This record gives sequence, C-alpha cells and structure tokens, in this order.
Amino acid sequence: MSMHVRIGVVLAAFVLLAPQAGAVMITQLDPDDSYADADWTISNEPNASVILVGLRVEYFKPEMIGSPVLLQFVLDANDLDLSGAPKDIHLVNYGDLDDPNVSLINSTGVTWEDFHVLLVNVPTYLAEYAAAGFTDLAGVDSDPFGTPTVSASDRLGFDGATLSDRGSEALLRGVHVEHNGTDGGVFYIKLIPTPEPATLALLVVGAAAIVTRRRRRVV
Amino acid sequence: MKTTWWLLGVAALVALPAGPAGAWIITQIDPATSSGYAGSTVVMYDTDPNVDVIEIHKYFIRDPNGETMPVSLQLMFTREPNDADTITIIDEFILNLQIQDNRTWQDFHVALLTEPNVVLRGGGVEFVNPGGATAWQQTGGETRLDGVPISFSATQVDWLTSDPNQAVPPGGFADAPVNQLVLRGLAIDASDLETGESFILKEWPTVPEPGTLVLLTAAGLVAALRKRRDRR
Repeated sequence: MSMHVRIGVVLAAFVLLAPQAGAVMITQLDPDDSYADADWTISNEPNASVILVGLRVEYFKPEMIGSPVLLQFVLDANDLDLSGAPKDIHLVNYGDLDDPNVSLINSTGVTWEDFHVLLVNVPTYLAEYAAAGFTDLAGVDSDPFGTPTVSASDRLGFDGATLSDRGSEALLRGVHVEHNGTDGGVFYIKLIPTPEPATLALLVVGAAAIVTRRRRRVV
Repeated sequence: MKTTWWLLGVAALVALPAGPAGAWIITQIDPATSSGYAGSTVVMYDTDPNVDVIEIHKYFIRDPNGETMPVSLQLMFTREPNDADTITIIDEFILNLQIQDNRTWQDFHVALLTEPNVVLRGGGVEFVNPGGATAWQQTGGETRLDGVPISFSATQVDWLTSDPNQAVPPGGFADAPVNQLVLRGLAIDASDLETGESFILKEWPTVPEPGTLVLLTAAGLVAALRKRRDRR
C-alpha cells in the first residue's frame, strides 16, 4: 500500500470515526423548567441525510395552557450533508431515536382539547435568517388528535380529541423542518396546548368575574 | 392581578392558529428594517370574536449613535375590517443583542403613540390593566427589571431596577435566555380606532441618567402610595 493510500485510509477513518464535531444547538427559552420542561437529544451522524432530534416535553402548570414552550434552534456548520445540502431536522422520540413519536405530557391538571406547533423565523434581514419551515406535511400525525386540521410551513394545528388525565401523553410524529443551512442560523419552534371549551368557558367566566369585581371596587 | 391576565390570555385562545384571519396589519416603522439596529417578528395566533392574540419577538442589535441615541423599536398597528377592539400580546420575547455597544439594560419602556397627523376619534388607544404587566427572564422563573413596573399609565409602562442581578446583559443568540427579557400581560384597547386608522407601539431600553432614575423612582413611589390609599 503506497504512502498516499495509507494517508487516505487514515483520513477517511478519522472522518468516519471521529466524534460529531457539532450540530444544531437547542435551548428552551421559555418558560422556566418549573412550568414546563423540554428534554432533547441530538444525532447528527456525518453520513446521515437528516438530523434527528429526540424530544419530550412535559407541561406542569395550568398557566402553560395557551402559552408556548419556546425552543430556539441555532444551526451549525455541520448541519449539511456530504453533498453540502442542508440536512432536514426530524423530531423523534427522546428515548429512542428510531421511534418517530415525540412525547407531549399533560401534567397540568387541565384538559387539553387542541395542540398547536408554530415555527418562527428571525426577520429575513438578519444574518441569522434560516428560512426554516415545516416540510413533508402529508406525513404529520398525532395520537390522540389524528391528522392536523391546519398544516402549513409555519404552523400545525391539532384538535378533535381531549387529553384529560394528569400525566397523560400525546404523541406527535412526522414533524420535519427544512432550513437553508446558514451557520448560526436561528429559528424557533413553539409548542402550545389549548383547553377544551368547557374548561375555557369556566376560565372565561372566572376572568370576567374577577374583572367585574375589580371594576366594582374601583367605582 | 396576574391570574386575571393568565385567564384572559387563555380565553383569547378559543380558536388558536387556523391562520391569521383578517388580523391587524403590523409593520415595523422604526428603525428601518435594513438599518441593522433592531428587528421584530410578529406571530399572529388567530382572531376570535372578541380578542386578537399575538406574540412578538424583538431583537435589539445596536444603537444608532451610541449613548446619545438609544435604539427604540416602533411597530405600527393598522386596523382592518372585523378586527377586534382588544389586542392581547400573549408574550414578548426580547433579546438584548447589543454586544457591540456593550449595553446592559437596567430599564425598559413600552409606550403607545398615535400616528402623526391622524386624530383619533374618541380619545385614543390604551393599555388594559398596565400595572398587571410583568417582566421575566423566563416565565415563572427569575424576574427581570424587578418584575413589576415601577410606573405605569394608560399609555406607558416602565420597568427599572437598581439590582445588577435583575439587569439584562447583552449577548448573542446562542447566549439566550441569559440576555432575554420576556414581557407578559400587555393588552391594548383600541376600540376608539376606526378601520384604516393606526397606532404605534414603541419599546426601548435605556441607561438612565441619575436624574431620570430619581424621577422614575419617585413616580413608582407615588403610584404605590396611591394604590395603597385606594385599597383603604
């Protein structure tokens, strides 16, 4: 084996066996962990065509109903495939990256009727613009909500079921994100549960009562 | 007070994102989007019969002219047919990206202005319960700028802290949420506005001079005393 071939083999082995040099960076920007907690694990194998993000989110406080868990994604130079094209990001199961189900756990004590996933980019005029959007929309599905009633590149909406018990779990699968691969590019994913109408009605009546009482006190 | 706004916020979400259906037109009018001074993204939740619900992401990047002209961000809201009278801002996620200016925020201000040359019928646009607004690093966790406003009126809310631990330091995107300010509980009553009329939501951080600090503190004390008197 010539010296050049040996060097080539060593370099190839280094590229294939070296630990991952980096990948998209995820941060929970809101709320505090005591209100809702997201856990994630990231797999960005050099030879893989996609980046896998295992995700699990648990909502603890009733205040989270109607309010987003906000995750910031900051892209890395390694988020490209071997041809230099940006790798799509697939949200999958936190404990098993081969399982496509993202776990969403309702520990709020309030029944969920709907669930919403929004994708937000930074403004196009910032250098960090990542042109991110949901893709492969036909493959998005959920238990117990079923297929989304709203699906677009910046929003997925689910309804048609309830998630009532404390500790009960919704599964979300097929959520894929495309982006432009900008090193340092930023986008956000927001995960928002909303309550069932009966709960909502109670909340509205409660809020109205508080406002009325306060007004009466002021007058 | 905080509970009320959580509840009203939830009430606003009866028909969350089906896509923006006839919502307010919201435009960043200052600074120019090409300036590189500040940027914003408005997330429309949806329109229900009574309340329009939005979230706003804001990025303060650098001051136009150093300390003599701190950056402010102004969004113009123009009313469309069928828009609700009240705009609920579920939350604002504000990032201090002013690394170049090395600007640590000790205060932050939110104000409502009327569009120049347009006289609004009936009085104007007002914050609903401005004293109930709160400031956080992350909702439910550590507060920022002491959490509650030091002073407020129907058209302006001010936060101010003298505690270095409550200040908002500059940083990059990757540093968030250390350099993040989350405002909650802001709602705007725009019932006096007719279709096609506008108002401006202006927000700005400053590094207050000692004189301003004294004035703001005095205003906060007056507001607190008045509140206590009203309770009695």
